Order: sequence, then structure tokens, then C-alpha cells
Amino acid sequence: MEALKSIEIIESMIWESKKSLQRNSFYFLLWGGLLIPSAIVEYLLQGNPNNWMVWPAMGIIGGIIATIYGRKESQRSGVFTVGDRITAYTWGGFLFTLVFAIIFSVSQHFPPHGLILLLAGWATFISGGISRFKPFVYGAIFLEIGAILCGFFVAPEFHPLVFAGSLFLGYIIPGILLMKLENGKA
Amino acid sequence: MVKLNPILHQELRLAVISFLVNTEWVDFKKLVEVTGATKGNLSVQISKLQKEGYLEVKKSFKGNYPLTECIITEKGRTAFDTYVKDLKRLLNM
Repeated sequence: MEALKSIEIIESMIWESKKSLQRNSFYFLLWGGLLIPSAIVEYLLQGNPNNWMVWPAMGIIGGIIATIYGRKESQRSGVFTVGDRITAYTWGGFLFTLVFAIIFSVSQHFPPHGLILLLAGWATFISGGISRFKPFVYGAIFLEIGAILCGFFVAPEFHPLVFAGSLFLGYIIPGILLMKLENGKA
Repeated sequence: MVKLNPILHQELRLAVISFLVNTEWVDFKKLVEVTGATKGNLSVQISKLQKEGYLEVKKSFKGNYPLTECIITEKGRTAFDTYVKDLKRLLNM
């Protein structure tokens, strides 16, 4: 085998492995699709003392669907890259921190939406960087802007609406664009 | 004269190691897909890499499906790095 042929093989295989990141658009569309209606329901039911219950309900539904999908996707892709591990740990850390952020926020009698957006923006930014998919990087910026609005400029009763709008720009739009890209590759 | 590692200086074995170097594990079926090799030939070459200590093979079941995971070892990564360096020297890169 000639040396130049070796270079060709190495380059093409490294490229193949880099594009073998697992399909992540599903998670963004799933969580965006569940959390945006939850935020709108919470906003519309303001005054109802049980309006918060939509959140754990959607969290449980989303958690079950995401776990089932994750197992199937891992089996389908047949590869686990370093990028996949970083993504998994980033979102695992996000989930862990999210639980404490919500408890902290509720105990301080402050709506948790801003904190959730802040954390989601951080994790989305990393995901965008790992997958080299710019729309998630821009989406992350929208999530952070939403967090800043909730933290400093918008009255608490409107936080669910800011939350819904930020998720639409940060999760749904990039998620659709990534899904189109993934389907094109398949 | 630079002498390239004969274990890696073979098309299919080099393709397998080059793919594995960026991953934590790869299913055998995925390697068939990306290399375009036959299952038989790929098995033979993977066995050679395994014998050399460049990769590990773990067999298990995921649900009802058999899963054959190929994992590159530290020795395999080092050998790949050395191979690339030697290749660059050979080509004056």
C-alpha cells in the first residue's frame, strides 16, 4: 500500500467517525415540544394553586420517552464517540443542577424559569460546539437572553411566556434544522 | 529509511484503527458499514489487531440483539500515533 493511500484512508475514516455523533435533534424537539405548552398552560392558569403540576407531569413523560429513545438510538448508531460522552455528561450535569436550581428558586419564592434558561443555554452551547452545529450556538444565545430578561427586566408573571419564546428559538428552530440535516445524512 | 508498522500498514486494519481512534466503542456492524468490507474479512483483520493488543472485543447482548463492541486500547492509540508520525516523515510532511 502506498503512503498516500494510507493518508487517504486515515482522513476518510476520521471524517466518518466525526459525523457519527448520535442523532440529538429528537431530544431538543421533544423537550421543546413538551415544555413550551407547559409554560403556556402555567401562564394561562395563573391564580390556580395547582398550575405548577404541569411541570412534573411533563418532566416524567419526557424523561420516559427520552430514555426509551436513547436506548434505541444507541443501538441504531452502533458507535459511541468521545463527543457523545461529553454530550451525555453535559446534559446529565444539567439535569442534576436543574433539580437543585428549581428547589432553590421555589424555596426563595422566585419563578425558576430564568435559572432553567440559564442552565439550558449553557448545555445547548456546549452541544452546539461539540456537534459543530451553529444554530444551537445561536439558540443558546437566545436562551441566555431569555434568562437575562427573566432575571432583570420582565415581571415574574410573564416569565412563562419568555420561557416559551426562548425555547422556541433555542430548541425548536435549531432542532428542526438539525433533524433536516440528520435525515439528509441517513 | 522509515519502516511503517506492518500491522497497521494494511488497508482494512488501518481503516478500522483510524475509525476507532475517535470513538469509545464501535459495534461490529457499524465497522462493516463504514469500511465496506465483508464480515469474514473484517473478523480476520480485527482478530489480528486484537492479537497485537491494539483493540479489545467485548461480546454482549443489548435487548435481544447481539452486540460486538470494538474498543481501541492505549497500545493501539500509541501505535496509530507512531504510524502517522512515520508516515509524515516518509512523505516529508
